Amino acid sequence: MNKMISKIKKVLALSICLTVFIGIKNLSSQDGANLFKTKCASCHTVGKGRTVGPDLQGITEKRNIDWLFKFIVSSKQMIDKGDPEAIATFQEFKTPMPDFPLSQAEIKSIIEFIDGGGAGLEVKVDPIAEALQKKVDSIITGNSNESIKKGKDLFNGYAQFVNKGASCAVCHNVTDNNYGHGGLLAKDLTNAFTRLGGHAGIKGIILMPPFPSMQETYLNNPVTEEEAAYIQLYFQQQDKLNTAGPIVQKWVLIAAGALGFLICAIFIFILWNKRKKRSVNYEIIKRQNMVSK
Amino acid sequence: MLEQFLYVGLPYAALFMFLIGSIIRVKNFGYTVTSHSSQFFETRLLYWGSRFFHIGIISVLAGHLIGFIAPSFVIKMTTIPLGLTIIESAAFSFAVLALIGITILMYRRIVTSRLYSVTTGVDIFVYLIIVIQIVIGMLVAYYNRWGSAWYASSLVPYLKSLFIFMPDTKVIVTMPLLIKIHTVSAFLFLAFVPFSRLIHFLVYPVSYFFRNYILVIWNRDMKAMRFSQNMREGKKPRNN
Repeated sequence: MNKMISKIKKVLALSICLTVFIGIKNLSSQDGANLFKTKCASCHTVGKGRTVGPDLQGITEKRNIDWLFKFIVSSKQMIDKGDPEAIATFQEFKTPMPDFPLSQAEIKSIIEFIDGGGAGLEVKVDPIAEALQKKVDSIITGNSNESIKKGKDLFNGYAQFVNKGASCAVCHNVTDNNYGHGGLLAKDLTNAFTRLGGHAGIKGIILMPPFPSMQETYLNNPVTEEEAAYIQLYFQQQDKLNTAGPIVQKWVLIAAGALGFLICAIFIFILWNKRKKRSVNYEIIKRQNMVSK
Repeated sequence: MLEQFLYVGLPYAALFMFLIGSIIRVKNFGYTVTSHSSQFFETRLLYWGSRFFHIGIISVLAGHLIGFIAPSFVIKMTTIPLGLTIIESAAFSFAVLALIGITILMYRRIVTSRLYSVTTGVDIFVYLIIVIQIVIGMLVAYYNRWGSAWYASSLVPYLKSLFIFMPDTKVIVTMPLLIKIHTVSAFLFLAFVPFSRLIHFLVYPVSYFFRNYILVIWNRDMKAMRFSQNMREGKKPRNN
């Protein structure tokens, strides 16, 4: 029996070692290019100029490796701690970078890929992705009233997103026609087009949200690139029309609350008015008081 | 560290106290599970206060519960502007109703001397925590509006993460201060339930909605009695 237990222990120990080894091997062989494409490419390029974030060519010469590791894992934490370089980067690009809880091996592979000049980033061209990109580009360059209307409908919830995500207006406000009834949880987006660096900035935020609340909202139902393009055009239009700044109507909820309260109070009155409002013995006490007087 | 305590440690401690405390109280002190009704002391203000407060608070709590149980349904309803307007207006109206109700109940407790004399420190704490919770909830609804929608999409995942024992605080820590206070005080409220008369919401008399009417037959002419100057039919009592 003891021999059997020791054998089981050995097998267990071996399998744990194997699992750990395989795990490490997998991590160390992570494809930096793939990771870059999925995590970084929507905001960064390697040698093709700045978009939402900086061009990352030669980043390892400009920044310390440890600093890069920390910044990729949580730029927000570094800004909160008052790191001057992190704050300067944020102030320059105005858009916070999402936190990426990647392993050390994964970050290393991304940095190695960037150091290699981003080779292989555009080697495989996916025909579907290429067609989609063309369509998105044509929406943006077309800038038609129909596209802007689609953006407006998607933003305000008059049309639903393909993946059934919540409409933007539940958290954001955009002043439209001197009226603003959007949500106030997150920033007002009336002048977001200028503030966030035009199409590229807005697209980057919509497709890869840097804000935890937005990440959670669109985690299982992301906004498509096409939908993002319509919203970008809507933002562009409203930014031009509302140079004086946003307008927000706040009285709506108060008025609705007051009206709703009145309706409820009338209901309560109608439903229970005939109910006994005084204690059961009230009349008896009253009569007794009368007699004693 | 403080964030881990407020959004992970405190919720678990509160849920533990609520669950275990309620079971112990119901099992060992069953007869104390009551709302400590004060209807005998005063009824006119209670009539309005209790109705306003209970209808308001039960509706608001039900809204929070529906958002927690069926977030995708709530997201679907609130994505449509008309649905959002109806839900938010109704929720805010019920909050106003609850606030006016609890104000009437507090006023009643202060002005009625018989009630004031039986009011305990725990009662005062119960009133305070409820008022704070309602007021902050209304401020959240006003300053961070369309809460019914973002609660279901952003905050419910945090609450669910607690219930599946994989707490994820990344969303709650980035929320505005009012929402953080509302969340923390909700957990404090829950922890306090077994130690106060708040426990009566666990024994809501649902059967009242379905029971038959109780037929009361008086074997006397009640109308004649009510308006009688003699207080009783027949002879005058001598003990007054």
